[in-house]
Amino acid sequence: MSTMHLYQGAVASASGLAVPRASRRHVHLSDDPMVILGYHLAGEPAAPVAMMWGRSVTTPRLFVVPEPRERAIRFEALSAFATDLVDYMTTARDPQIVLANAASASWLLKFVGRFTRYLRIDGPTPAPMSIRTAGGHLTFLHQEYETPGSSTVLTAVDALTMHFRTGQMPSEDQNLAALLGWVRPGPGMTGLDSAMLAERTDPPSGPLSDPEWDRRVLESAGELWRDAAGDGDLQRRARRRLEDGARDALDPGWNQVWTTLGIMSGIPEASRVAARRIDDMRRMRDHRDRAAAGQMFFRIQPEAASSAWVLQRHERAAEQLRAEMVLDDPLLMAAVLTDEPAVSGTVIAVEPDHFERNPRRHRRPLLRIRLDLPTYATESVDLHGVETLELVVQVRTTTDEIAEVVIIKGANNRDSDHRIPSVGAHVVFSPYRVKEFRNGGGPGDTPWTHVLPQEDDPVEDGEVGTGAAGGSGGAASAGPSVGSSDVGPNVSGAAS
Amino acid sequence: MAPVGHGSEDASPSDLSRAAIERILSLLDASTPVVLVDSPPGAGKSTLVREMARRQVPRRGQVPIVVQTNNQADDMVAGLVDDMSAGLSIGLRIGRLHAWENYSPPPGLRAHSQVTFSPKISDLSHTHIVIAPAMKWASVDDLNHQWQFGIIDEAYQMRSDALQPIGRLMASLLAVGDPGQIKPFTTLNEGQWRGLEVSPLESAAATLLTTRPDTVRVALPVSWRLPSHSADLISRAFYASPFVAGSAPEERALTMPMGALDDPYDQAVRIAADGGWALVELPGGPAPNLDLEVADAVAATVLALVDADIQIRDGARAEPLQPLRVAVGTAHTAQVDAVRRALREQCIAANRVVPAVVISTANRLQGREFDVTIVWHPLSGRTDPGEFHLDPGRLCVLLSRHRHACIVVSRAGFSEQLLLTPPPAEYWAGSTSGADGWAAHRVVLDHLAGRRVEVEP
Repeated sequence: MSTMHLYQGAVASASGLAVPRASRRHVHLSDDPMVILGYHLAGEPAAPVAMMWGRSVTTPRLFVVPEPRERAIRFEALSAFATDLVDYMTTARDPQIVLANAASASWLLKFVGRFTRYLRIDGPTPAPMSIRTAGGHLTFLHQEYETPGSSTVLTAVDALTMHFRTGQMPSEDQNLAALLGWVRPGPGMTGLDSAMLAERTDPPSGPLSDPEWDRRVLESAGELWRDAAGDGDLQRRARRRLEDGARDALDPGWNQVWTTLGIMSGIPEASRVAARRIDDMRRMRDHRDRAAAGQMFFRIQPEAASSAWVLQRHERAAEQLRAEMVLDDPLLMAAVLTDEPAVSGTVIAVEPDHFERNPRRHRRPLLRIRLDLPTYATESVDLHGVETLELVVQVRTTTDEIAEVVIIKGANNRDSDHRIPSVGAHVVFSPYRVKEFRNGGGPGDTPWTHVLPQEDDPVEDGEVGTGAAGGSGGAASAGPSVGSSDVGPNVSGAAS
Repeated sequence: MAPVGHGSEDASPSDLSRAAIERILSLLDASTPVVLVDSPPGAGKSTLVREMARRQVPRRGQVPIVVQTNNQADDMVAGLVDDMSAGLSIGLRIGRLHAWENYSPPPGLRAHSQVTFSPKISDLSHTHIVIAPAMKWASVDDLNHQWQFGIIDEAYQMRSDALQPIGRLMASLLAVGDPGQIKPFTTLNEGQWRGLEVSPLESAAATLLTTRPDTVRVALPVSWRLPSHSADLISRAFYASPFVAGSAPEERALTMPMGALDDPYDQAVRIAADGGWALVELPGGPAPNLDLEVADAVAATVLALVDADIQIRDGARAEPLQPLRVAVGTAHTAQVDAVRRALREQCIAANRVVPAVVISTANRLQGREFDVTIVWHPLSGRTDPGEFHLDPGRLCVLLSRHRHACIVVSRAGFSEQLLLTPPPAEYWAGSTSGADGWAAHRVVLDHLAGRRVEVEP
């Protein structure tokens, strides 16, 4: 944890108001996002109870599942959501899914995505095709959520904690209502008061509901539903009661997510966000092409070659994201300056014709810098220019007030002399630089060193198609059938 | 799959070691697909790799060696060159495959007639042994270049994803490593990769054990680095297969002139000189990550040590303790900076030159050796020890870099903290299942308890 982070936490705690952690917005905001909130049955993530979704704050759609254990009712309710999601993912110009928190992302994108993308659309209780297609989109969205720097999926909690520091514990920040209390306290209240009030009064924003709500609303509506077996009017009344209860419970979270988007849009966008969004959209286009061709394939267990490839790609992306954020944002750079080897100060002397031997003689212009704060940088560390990205320097000598640095790269011959900072200039050199990395190539084949010994039970591709039902043409293996227990993914794609 | 290779009780360390090496050689001669050698700290791992490479060249043709860093690659080249000067495999031609940018050959090797440096593998086809870091091997085109056999050094430091390109290039492997290393990691959220059957976050060694049940595992039975009192403790606390010290107790000694011992730091140095271990203990209590009082105590210990006028006896070697042969090891980079700063300030106050001791993190000290080490205990002052701090690999690296003595600096009370902390994920160096880091910490703490000196900040 950085010194700046501790300091900001102390200031927030003392003042009772969240303080900015970042001075720029490091995520892209769509002008047409789709917000999704939801609850699942306690202990049974495969059983959604209520979901609220929509593309504007005033027009949320809602579905409820009065008997979450019954498969047909679950599908009926899910299919309305699935149809909207598929439509949005297929047509939205600037698609962006916004959820309440990380737990919701993991539930909806990973878990629901995983069990719906393998659903059978035949058999005794067939699932609607739209649900299986939505499962493919949810799985893609989960991959995006895990990709550092992607703005295709945002959660309100992560967006807020990335840009604000509260005076409470990070685990307490996971409660969106409390977190917003710190960032936008109610009139006449401190952030702490607001947060505590929110914790007492606001229902959770998912994916787990309040056990009290379960007892009071969900159970009684479920009982009413079961008692009304066969009686359409009574069942509609039971459903309406649950809808009213779900709306009451999800409305606050719904408004909080949209409020969060409003707060985020008030922060000026960092300069490298747009370029990252182009990468998002490139992946989105590829995904849409696959979806249109009925080719959304996802493995149950990724091959070793592809998991290693994704790991390395994400590691590079995370490193690049960190560098881009620091270079885009003076407040983040200030945190770097307090803890990491970096130099910040005013140039008080320049020796353009300074030479060093290693072992040959090199021209390495020397800068004498009056430091803003003492530096940890040692001789062997390469530091990169923040104002002039091409410059690479190393510290040669330093006291708490003055440092001498030499330019290693970027301004070592006459043609590049214009890059040498002049006396009086304020300069910052940090360990961060933006590296272009080639995204070429794919994972390749899994080599003998990474293939498990016996393959008694070959795992086939799970498959989702928007086109013709089934598709993979027989070879139905003995995967668990969805017919009776509906949680397990169905391994075989086709009718048997 | 239990490690094998131990001889009878009364065999000498040299005999034990030789027997293990001959066994490895016979396994390679029998074309065993995967041989994994578990090496305790200072067991002659690099010497083994060089010997095996040299002895496989006549049978297999060119032998590729995979290391993890550029320094390790250059050291391996230098070691082979030294071996030739000593008369071993005199006609050997060595290739050093390196990156296209930001690499310059070490000055002493640049002009050597039997070493070729190149960023292109095709320039090295005339050489007998090719050495490169795993990352460089990953760029070699596997359609046009294949080897029937290759050697991996530091297989426990190497992450599994880095092994994949090696698998595409080489058809059988000798993998050598120290299982008491810091586990490979990622700075990303690990959840996505941890549940996999073949996780890219495992070590290369662990992956080979998972995918190749026919892997033959051999443990080197002797540490030539650790003195006898340390070998026993480190073996017991951290290793699945026991090992012994290669040196007899009387072969190693630190002697210092008699003198008054009013100062607790001087006492700690004396205790370490006498018995190999000492614990400098500050008053207990929780402390931030950057505990400046511990940094001061570490710096004071450094100065007490370099001022103690210590003479080293190490077999036939007898000389004063050199600052460059002293290392300070910490868990975090920020602690390295804090120790540097504290040392500088104490030296300015005493109007003296800052001693040139090595100060670094456990990660960077992996594979290095010193006469005396001073260790900032990873659990000092922590109320929330996580997997990072309890990782037995990190403690093992810190406590096994010395040929003579190790002084641990910590706040009091972490023994109690440890009792309150549930054991983390199961771990035992050199075994895929087994005991945990929690137990390893207990064994070390019990040993240090009797060698403690209390200091006031």
